[in-house]
This record gives sequence, structure tokens and C-alpha cells, in this order.
Amino acid sequence: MGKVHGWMIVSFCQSCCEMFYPRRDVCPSCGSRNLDDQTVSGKGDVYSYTVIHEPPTTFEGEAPYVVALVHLIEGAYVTAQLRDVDLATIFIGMPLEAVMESGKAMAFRPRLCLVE
Amino acid sequence: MRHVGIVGIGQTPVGTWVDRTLSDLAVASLRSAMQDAGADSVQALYIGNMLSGQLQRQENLGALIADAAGLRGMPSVKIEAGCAAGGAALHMGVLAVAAGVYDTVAVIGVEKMAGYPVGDVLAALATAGALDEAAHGLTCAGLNALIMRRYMYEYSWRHDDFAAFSINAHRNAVTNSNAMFRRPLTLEEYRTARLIADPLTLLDSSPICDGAAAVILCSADAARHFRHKPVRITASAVATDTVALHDRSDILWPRAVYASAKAAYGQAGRSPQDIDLFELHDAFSITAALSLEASGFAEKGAGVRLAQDGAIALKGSIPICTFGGLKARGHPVGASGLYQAVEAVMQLRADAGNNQVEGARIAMIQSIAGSGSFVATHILEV
Repeated sequence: MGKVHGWMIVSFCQSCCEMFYPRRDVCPSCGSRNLDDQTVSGKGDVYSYTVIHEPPTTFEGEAPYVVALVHLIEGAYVTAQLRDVDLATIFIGMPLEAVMESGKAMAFRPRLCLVE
Repeated sequence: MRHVGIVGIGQTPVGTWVDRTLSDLAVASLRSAMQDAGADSVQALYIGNMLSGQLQRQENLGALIADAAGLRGMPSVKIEAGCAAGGAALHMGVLAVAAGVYDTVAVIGVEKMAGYPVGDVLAALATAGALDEAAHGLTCAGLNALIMRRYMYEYSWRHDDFAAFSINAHRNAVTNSNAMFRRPLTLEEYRTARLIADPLTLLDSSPICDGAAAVILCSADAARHFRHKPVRITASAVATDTVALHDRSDILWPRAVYASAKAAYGQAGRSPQDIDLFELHDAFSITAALSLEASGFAEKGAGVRLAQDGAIALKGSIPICTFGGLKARGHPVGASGLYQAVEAVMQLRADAGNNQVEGARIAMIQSIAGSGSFVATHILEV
């Protein structure tokens, strides 16, 4: 799959401990300017998702596609498409990992978990 | 600050008006509002609109509409706040009169969305959300679908449970000659509607349409010059939230709805129990549920129950969408806030015919943009 990596850089607010992606200069939660870049795993789960059947012009021909609100294990919420996934198998809580591919929008795919 | 009232109302029917320009619609609603008020002139125009720059490739609506109305020279500005542009324009008009800058102003909401490729309209509407959302193919419906899915998961609601919102809206639109969909909706139709952004279907969603509505505002002192006793605007409150859903700690609690409703109750000295009818922003069924909750009419997660119990019907404890709402009257986005104001005035004048909420004295109206990032709430009283 070429240059693929899973980690992401988020903004961590030193004042209220919230995390944001994409990065922010001012914390949208508490207004602090005391934000640091932090590298996170890119692992998370499905917080919510939708299957777009009526797309905007720029995504014509791609529907149906899945856009999810992903909750990273470190805390931030991320909007991204899900790929390599069967629509019928998606559920809230489904484990995911980020797929960062150069030249493409960030996406997530299902993550295999070891059963403890 | 001075007291502000509404002394004139006007609206065009909502629909698909391929042969009428944006200016035609705006001027028609302005004329009819001035005629209703018995006003020969106003001192300024405030124009609510969202999409003219994107769909008509026409900006500078302040000058455009003043010019088209034969009001060259008049102060006139466009106000934009996504799909809540109408509520935002009303807020600015109220401020101008309350501050004593003008005694009489017209506030117009106008939008033309029909007749363009649907994908273009959806892309234009998505600009009420964040670029980081649209970049992944999210539409306005998609944003609200994300909220709805999580809401159903958290509170164990099924999709069918939301039907009561759309059915109520369509029932009330049947007797509104200005509504786009003047026909009842059945549960079976709701169940079998096609998906737009799963779990949202076409029948959870307000339509793409054209329309314009206008009100004439005046100060209490100026009211004697007009035909109608003014409907008083006792609250005008605006609030904002993060533009992107992913920057909120709880997507099921629309903070800007809560903040603007709370501020409005404070200004008017009212509480939810005092409100006789609520023209809320049912762009999607889930939006109606969240609006009822964050505005204090239901506990978190329980807004759907008000629809199922019939509390939102004309004879219920908190009637909503009394002329069809955004779902069935139609949602020409930047105009909707003004349609709400016009309809609330009809209710408070006891001039709502078959749609009358008996004994209505206090009405609340609310415009919401995107996924709740901008909210304008007004309280109107007689």
C-alpha cells in the first residue's frame, strides 16, 4: 500500500487536557493558547458513523461511502472516511486504526484486536 | 435599549420557482410586509441569505435588493450565518431599532436553491460546517446523521420513533397555502423513504426549495403609525459553538441552542413553561429533538417522546412547526428564520385560521446553522 503509517499529530491542551485534530492554535474547549503537539497512536473506535447516499458534487460517483466520528484512545475525536470495511459490519465501538497515505485524505480501517 | 415590535409580515409561497429571481422573491415579500403594516417606507433593510454567492454567483445582496425594490440610496446589508441567516438578520434588525439607530426597518429572508444540480446544492450547504468535515465528503445531512446515530445508540430510540416529527409537520402544512408539501405523511411512507445519509432519510429532511419572507420592525414610539398593534420582540439572543462536531465533548448537547435559549428566557423574563408555541429548526428530525431538549422542553434524550405523545401538536403542550415547519412548509435556508417570525406573528394575532394555537400569547422561534454552530432565538409576545 505504499507509504502508510498510522500515527497522527494532535493538539493537546495543557490547561484542560482536551485533544484536538486537526491541530488548533487556541483550545476550542477552554480558550487557552497553551497547546502542544502530541503524537498519538491513530487507534480508536467508531463513536458514530453515517453512510452517505447523496454526496456533494466533489464526491459524486463515490457513494455510498462511510464517514465516521472516530474516538481516539488518547481522547480526540476525528472525522474521516472508513475504508476496507463491509457496510453491514460497522458498529459503534468498532476498533479502528488510522491509515495515513501520502497524497490522500486520512482514513480509518478496522483494527484486528487480540482477545485478552 | 428601546422596545421593538413587528408591525408587518409578508411571505411568498415556498416551492420551486424557476421563473422568479432572488430579487423578485425578496421584493415580493418586502412589498407584502409593507402593505400589511401600512408602511410607505422603511429606513433600512437587513437581508438574510446563505447561498446566493455559491448558487447564483451573486453577492452584494444589500444593494441588489434595495435597487430591485426601488429603494436606491437606502442602507441595506446582507447577513449570513449558514442556514440560520434569517434568524441572524432578524437579530441585527432588532439591535438597530433597539439601539435607536432606526425607527423602522425591514428584515427579509430570501433563498433560491431549486433548479441546480443536487450535488452542488449539498456542497454549498456543507459550507455551514467545517472544511475538515466537508473534505471527507460529509454533507449537512451527514453531520446530523452522525448526531442521530449516536443519539439512537445512547437513548435506545429506533428510526421509526422520529416519524412523529415529520408526520406532525406535514399535518400542519396541509392548511398552509404557503407550504411546499400540503399533504399528510403516513408512517408507511416514512418507513420506506430512501436513505440520504444513513440513518437519515429523505423524510427526515427538509426540502431544497425557494422562498422569501419579511417583517417590518419598529420602535414602540413609531408603532402608532402602522395598521397593526405590534407583536413585541421580548428577546433576541444569538450564540455560537465549535463549527466542527469533532471539536465538541458531547455532540448530543447543542450548547449554542442551550445558550441562546437561556439568554432569551433571561431577556424576556420567561421560562419554557410560558411558551405557547415554538417554531423550531426542524431541518432534520433529530434537530427538532435536540432543540426541544436544549431549549428546556424535555430532558436530554427525551425530545422524541414529546413528538410521540402528541405534545408537539397544535393542541399539545408545546406545539411546534404550526404551519409545517422546515420539513413541510419548506426550508429555503436563509429565509426560514423569517418564515418562522411571520408564522409566529400570525399565531399571536390570532390570524392563523385552521393552524391556530388557541390562546397563543407567547411564541419562541429558533434558527440553527450546520450541526448547531450558530443559533438565534427570539421570543415574541402580545
